[in-house]
Amino acid sequence: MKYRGSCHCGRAAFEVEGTIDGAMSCNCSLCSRKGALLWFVPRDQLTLLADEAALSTYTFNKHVIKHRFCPHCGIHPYGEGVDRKGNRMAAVNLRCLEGVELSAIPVQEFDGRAL
Amino acid sequence: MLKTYEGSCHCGAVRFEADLDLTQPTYRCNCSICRRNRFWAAIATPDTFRLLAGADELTEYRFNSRKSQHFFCRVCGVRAFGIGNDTPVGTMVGVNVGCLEGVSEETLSKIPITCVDGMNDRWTERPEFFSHL
Repeated sequence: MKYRGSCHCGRAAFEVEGTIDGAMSCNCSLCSRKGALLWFVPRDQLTLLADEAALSTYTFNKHVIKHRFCPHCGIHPYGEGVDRKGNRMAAVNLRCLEGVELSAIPVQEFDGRAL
Repeated sequence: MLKTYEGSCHCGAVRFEADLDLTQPTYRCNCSICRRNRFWAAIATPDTFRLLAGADELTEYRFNSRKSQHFFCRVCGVRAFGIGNDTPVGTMVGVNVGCLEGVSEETLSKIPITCVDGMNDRWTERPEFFSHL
């Protein structure tokens, strides 16, 4: 299924394709501050409908995950990185998708703070 | 009872201190912006909130009635706090609980949370679905 999503102001609009079978909620130092509900998909299933250069990027710690956010409204629609097999992946913030009943999605808690 | 907490955005550019009572209700909301970052607000006032650093690093975002000021750090994108200028109790500072320092996981898990139906402009009512907030 194809979903459409965006930051709040709409500048960082995107489409993402896949089946939402669950989400991850993490308590690490960044996730606890920005409250994302994450859904992991291969990066090529995510199509940004804006110029990537127009987004802000934040990295920290090992600087391997690019946390993208809109410089106008501050919302974080996705992050991207490479998994252990070398595949490019995106962590999409499900809270930014349209037409998704969030309360129906099973959520797995991840103890990122312990890493 | 009020206790003084320090907090920050993720990168540390924005730092604040706030006098909060975390035994009192904190708020989550399903409106279009709170939904996107699960804003979890403890309530302070201009008298009980002090920005310690980072005023120049804050970007302000307003929308709709443009009465509320939504601030985020331009470096890391984190919303450490926001200001509601037209609330039933006057000007309010919503402090992001996730940005507070020195609050244990156990304490966080016990903070009372009130969910409000901002999506339908019902700011004193609980929404029909709220488990994801």
